[in-house]
Amino acid sequence: MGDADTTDPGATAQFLDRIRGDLAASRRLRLGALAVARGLVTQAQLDETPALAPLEETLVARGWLRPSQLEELLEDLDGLRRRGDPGAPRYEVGAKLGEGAVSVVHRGTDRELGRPVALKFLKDSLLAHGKVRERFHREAQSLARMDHPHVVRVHDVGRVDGRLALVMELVEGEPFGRTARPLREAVALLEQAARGVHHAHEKGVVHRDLKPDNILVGRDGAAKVADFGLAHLAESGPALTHTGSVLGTPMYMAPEQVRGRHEITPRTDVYALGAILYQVLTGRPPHEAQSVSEVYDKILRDDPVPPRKLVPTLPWELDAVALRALEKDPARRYPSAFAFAEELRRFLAGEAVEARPVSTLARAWRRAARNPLRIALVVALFVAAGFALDSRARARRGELAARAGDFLESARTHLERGALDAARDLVEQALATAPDLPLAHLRRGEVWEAGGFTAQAEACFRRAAELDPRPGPAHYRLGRVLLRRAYLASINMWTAEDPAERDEAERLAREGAAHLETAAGFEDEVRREIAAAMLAWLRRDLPGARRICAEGIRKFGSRDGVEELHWLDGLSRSKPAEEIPCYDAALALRPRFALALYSRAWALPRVGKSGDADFDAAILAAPGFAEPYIFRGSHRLVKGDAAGARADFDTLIGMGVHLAPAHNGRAGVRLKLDRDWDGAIADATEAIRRKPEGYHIPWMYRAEAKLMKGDAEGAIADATRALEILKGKDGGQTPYAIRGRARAARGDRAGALEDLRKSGPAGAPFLKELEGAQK
Amino acid sequence: MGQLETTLGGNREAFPETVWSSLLGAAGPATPEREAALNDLALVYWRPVYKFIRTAGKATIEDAKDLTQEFFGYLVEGDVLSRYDRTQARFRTFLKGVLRNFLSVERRDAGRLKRGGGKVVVSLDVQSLETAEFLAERGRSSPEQVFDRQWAAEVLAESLAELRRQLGAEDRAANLKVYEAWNGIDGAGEAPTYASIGRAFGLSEQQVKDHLAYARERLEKIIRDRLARRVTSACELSDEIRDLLAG
Repeated sequence: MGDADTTDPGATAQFLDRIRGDLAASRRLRLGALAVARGLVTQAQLDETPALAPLEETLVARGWLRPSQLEELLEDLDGLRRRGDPGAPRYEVGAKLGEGAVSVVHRGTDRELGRPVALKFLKDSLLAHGKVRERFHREAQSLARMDHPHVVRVHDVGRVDGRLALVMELVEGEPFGRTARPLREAVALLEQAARGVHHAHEKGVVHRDLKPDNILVGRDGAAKVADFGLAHLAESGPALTHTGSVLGTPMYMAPEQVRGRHEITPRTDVYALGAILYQVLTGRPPHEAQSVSEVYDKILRDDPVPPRKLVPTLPWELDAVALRALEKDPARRYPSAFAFAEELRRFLAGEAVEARPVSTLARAWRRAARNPLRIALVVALFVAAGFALDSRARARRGELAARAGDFLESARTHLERGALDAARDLVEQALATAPDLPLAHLRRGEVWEAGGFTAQAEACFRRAAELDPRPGPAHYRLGRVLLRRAYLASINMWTAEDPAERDEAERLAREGAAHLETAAGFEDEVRREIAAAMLAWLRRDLPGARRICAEGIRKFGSRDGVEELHWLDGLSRSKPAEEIPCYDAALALRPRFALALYSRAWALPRVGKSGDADFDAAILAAPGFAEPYIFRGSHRLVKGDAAGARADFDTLIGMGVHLAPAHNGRAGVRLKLDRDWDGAIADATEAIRRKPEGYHIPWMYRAEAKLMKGDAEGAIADATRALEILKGKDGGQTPYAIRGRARAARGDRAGALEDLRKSGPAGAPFLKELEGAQK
Repeated sequence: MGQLETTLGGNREAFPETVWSSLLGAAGPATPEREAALNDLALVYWRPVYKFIRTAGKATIEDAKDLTQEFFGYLVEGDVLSRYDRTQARFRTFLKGVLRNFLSVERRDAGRLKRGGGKVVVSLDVQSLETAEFLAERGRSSPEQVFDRQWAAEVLAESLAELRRQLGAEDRAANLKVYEAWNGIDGAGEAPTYASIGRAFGLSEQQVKDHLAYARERLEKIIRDRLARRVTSACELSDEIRDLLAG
């Protein structure tokens, strides 16, 4: 330690901070990777950990790791490293696992992280081509960005034993379709795979070669899609595409793929998913033939035999879903793998699927459409029947809606990740395409709501419910937003004094209840429970609400949405000590749950703790959520933090919401901290103008400011008004003190004494002075 | 804090003896080991202690220097260190508590006799500490925060110096330069990228990443070794690393 005393010239505080940040970031990454490699957490869990909190704490706080596991992990993080032998290769190549047309796969070990990996080497014949090598690197980089529980993860790309290799997650298991499975189980696996495929689409990668062999089923029973982008890679090689041999079977290929590759879109993969579903249902691919060229021919020309013709016992829903995914025209297929996955989910959950059995007439029309010579005839027939214009207009609308649907689905995934700006852009694009699409308005509202902008969200949900008045999510969302307003109104202090606002809260609650009732019976079961619990809460049936929450929590564990049940459970309790654990549970599931943060911030002071941190967190989580600013501003005012308090009230004024309390708060800052009497009078006047009844504080502030300016008359009038509003309730001491001082200033000694005697400690010094002077 | 310690603190019996073991036992005669241990303690902690004192009260620079000297004398002469219970708190936390307590007692006995003078051999050159940043920091932070930040800066700075020494001796100066460039800011005031550093040093991006990974790994090891010499349990070590990096 002899050098500790010499000041290091390179080690400025700033430089040290950067070094520290750099080390912390790299350690965090390695710790996370190690935890995932050990199977202690999933990558998805890791991704939702807050970046600012220490990862160690989050892992334990969420209950993912026991402290002892964390301890082991931390020791291994330091112990496993390549100590003293930094030159040793990172990956050890093990036994060969399999071989495809393009690549050879080996088992391997990542020494640095101590985890097994799969090493996929491109075949040497391909590597001879510089273009392939370059592409390999580029593809690998986009693959490494993919990160989904149902996509085989690509960790790294580089040279292993001198050969170019992809370092991938090792899936111990077997390809989909090797083992016969019950239908529902196979459909569930295909749903997972479709979600993985959708994730890739979002990252701009189309698989192009989906087939049962590329869907791996791990020992944990989860499906993972492999080999993204490799088909693409092979195509860039020398004249491999046309032989058909490199890509293996063409059975799952979409028509546009057969025709040429410029039309490849995510819907090409939707077709392949449909083909795999077809195979699951019927035991054979949709088109079979003796030669490759014959298969191509069939893919282009023939409609697949409906699965129910082959297996009459199949549920009609799956038949319809498969045929819709296998539509020859990409625009008629599901717009995305996500939509396909949702259909399978709906089928599994016993909900109605969107696909409809296609009628014989429609089939005839479409066959004709593929054959221009026959179109004229069919159109003529339809015109005679008065159909054609209508059906074409509908088709056009359907196409636009499908395109808007793509935007909206993408928006939804962004929304789920909290990328609000991206989600908003996509929603606006969808609205530009289809301005009256109810789903677009619904999603726009969801984006606003996620940012805490409730008023805007409410308007959007109303529009969506107007456009589509049938029971559905718009009513649920609208009911929920109204509930939120009713809840906020019920705890806002400036409301409690005003019967008009209390009535408004009641009205909101009733309207919210009506919408929730309309919404009932839609969407998934968790939402239904939430709606039921909210209804009970809105009707002040607190025991009922608690019972529903408890049941839902027990039934659904940590499924998406259960955090709202925990929150409602907390709202339905009357003792803060019981409320807080509910909010804790909600926040453990969704740390950025602004309303739960806000509710906890209210409960904490009632058990003698500070809620300030939760107000801060609520503001961070939902910057458009106005209420926390009011309370944080007020706390800052009480603590004497003028700049902070003013910033909060200015934010509210800038947002144009809660203007009465905002101007009132700023009046307080100007009066108490700035001693700017004119400013205080201006703000208090504005607060009074916006809310002349039921809110005494701005009157009181203005009275005091007028008194300080020497306007005793004005001060007396305002203080009198404040006292009238209070009607003898608590809080009158300060107005009495102000009026007493104003009366004294005007020479009304008797009146002053009367007021000051009622003013408690607030007026005590003045009372003493006045009584002294009297003697 | 504490979560790890309270649940796991007891089961790490085999943790190696540390530099300070001789200090943490019962008060004893002034053996050479004890003297050396105290010196080591003072070397690591005198700046944090000094800054704590300057932040906690209105002590002038000269007063704070005296109080710092006296504090270390107080540590070695009294039996205060023997009261440290490693299952209850980290040593650093304990030390801050002792310091708080020492200051309140010292203020009360403003006219007390100086103790421990001459025992501490560190020369307190405080000029480098009395910077404008520190004066600003004093207004914003509690003495405990100032103390912790200085401690972290101390450990980092000496580890960095050691990294420079080691890499220099191993003829790996390029590694070091890349690492320093990555954490510095280039002339244009822009945060460096792998590409910009690669261009500056004639390396590929992958080589830059490899260099960075290597330097980080070495630096972490140095930090760990340094911290390990002065903690009393493996979990305390984990916690100290975490604190150090948490900023």
